[in-house]
Amino acid sequence: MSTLIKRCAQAGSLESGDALVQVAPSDGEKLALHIKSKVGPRFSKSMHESVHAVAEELGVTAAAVEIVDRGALDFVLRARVTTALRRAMEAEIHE
Amino acid sequence: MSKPLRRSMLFVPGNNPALIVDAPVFLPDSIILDLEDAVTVNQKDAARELVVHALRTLDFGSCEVCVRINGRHTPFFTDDVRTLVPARPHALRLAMVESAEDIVCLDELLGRCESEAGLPVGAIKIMAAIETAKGVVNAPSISLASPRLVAMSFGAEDFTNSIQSERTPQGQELLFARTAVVLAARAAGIDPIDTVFSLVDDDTGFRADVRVAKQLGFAGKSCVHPRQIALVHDVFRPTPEEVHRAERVLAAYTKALQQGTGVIAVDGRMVDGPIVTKAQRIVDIANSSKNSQNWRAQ
Repeated sequence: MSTLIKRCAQAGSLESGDALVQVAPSDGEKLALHIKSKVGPRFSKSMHESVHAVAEELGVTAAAVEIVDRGALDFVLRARVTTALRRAMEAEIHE
Repeated sequence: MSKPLRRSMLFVPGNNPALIVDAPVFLPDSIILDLEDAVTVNQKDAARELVVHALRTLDFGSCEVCVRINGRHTPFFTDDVRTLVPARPHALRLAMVESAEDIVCLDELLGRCESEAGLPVGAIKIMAAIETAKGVVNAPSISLASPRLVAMSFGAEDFTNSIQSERTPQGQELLFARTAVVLAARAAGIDPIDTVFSLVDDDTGFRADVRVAKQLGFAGKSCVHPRQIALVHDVFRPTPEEVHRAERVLAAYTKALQQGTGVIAVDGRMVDGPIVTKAQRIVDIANSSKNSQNWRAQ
């Protein structure tokens, strides 16, 4: 279990053009990623790659990540995942 | 190259992806990605991250891109600056500036962050937002506090709070402060930018307010809705008659210089130094308007 993820956290919204990213500590040793998106079949691969790239950048190897996509562009997804992971890595509550 | 214009500065909430993506479509002279009033306290981190990713990714075309950061005495100030500098916005607009020290502090922090990021020191400019009585009183020293300063904006909502007054449609309560900001900015050679007009459906009232701003000497106006942009540009654009007369003044002046003639007149009106300067300004603004913007080429 990754010690980096200390708590559940989320970032983003369900507004059009955004994504809601929820992060939780994981019992496993990998990133457990679930993405719900209308454009999933077409962009699933690149969305997975972006999430993994952000996690790697922050040193997160294990976490449960759930994303509800509302048509977020790649930079939005990366920003929301970054914020959610950072919040989950902190001890204090932001939201 | 014509002087870049700051007629319209469109505020965009820093935590709204759709509005950030759409902003350049409306062709404002400047886009202000807002991390201050448009973002709730518990979303400052999310907005900051979104703005940084937007700056690194999006093509804002010909628009100047600024970020309004939280005031110097807030807990967000240092993180705002440190996080934003590597993404290299054109400028940071500092909220609630009340003294030259506020600007000096930002200037020094920017310098350290630019060095750490491998950017030339001075690359990122500063705009000072004057929003309180104290800020207005200190506007002259604020306007000279840093060579990075390119503009000074006035914010009426916080200002009226600070003088314990209310905004009225007539705006008498703002007249002294607006004029003070214009004088300080113009004396320092930077752009004075007028306050927002919040009634987004009132085109008539907005146009009248922009006319007053132009008459007072402002270089542009902060906008809260894309529909306000074209109205601002329309008011600030010189009319064809003004441009035509200005060109004739400049032509007559050039000819007089070449021929060593003394006093000249155009349309029966004496042309002296200030008239020539004004004519040149009208032609410059007309050319800049025509050429749109060129921030990326700066």
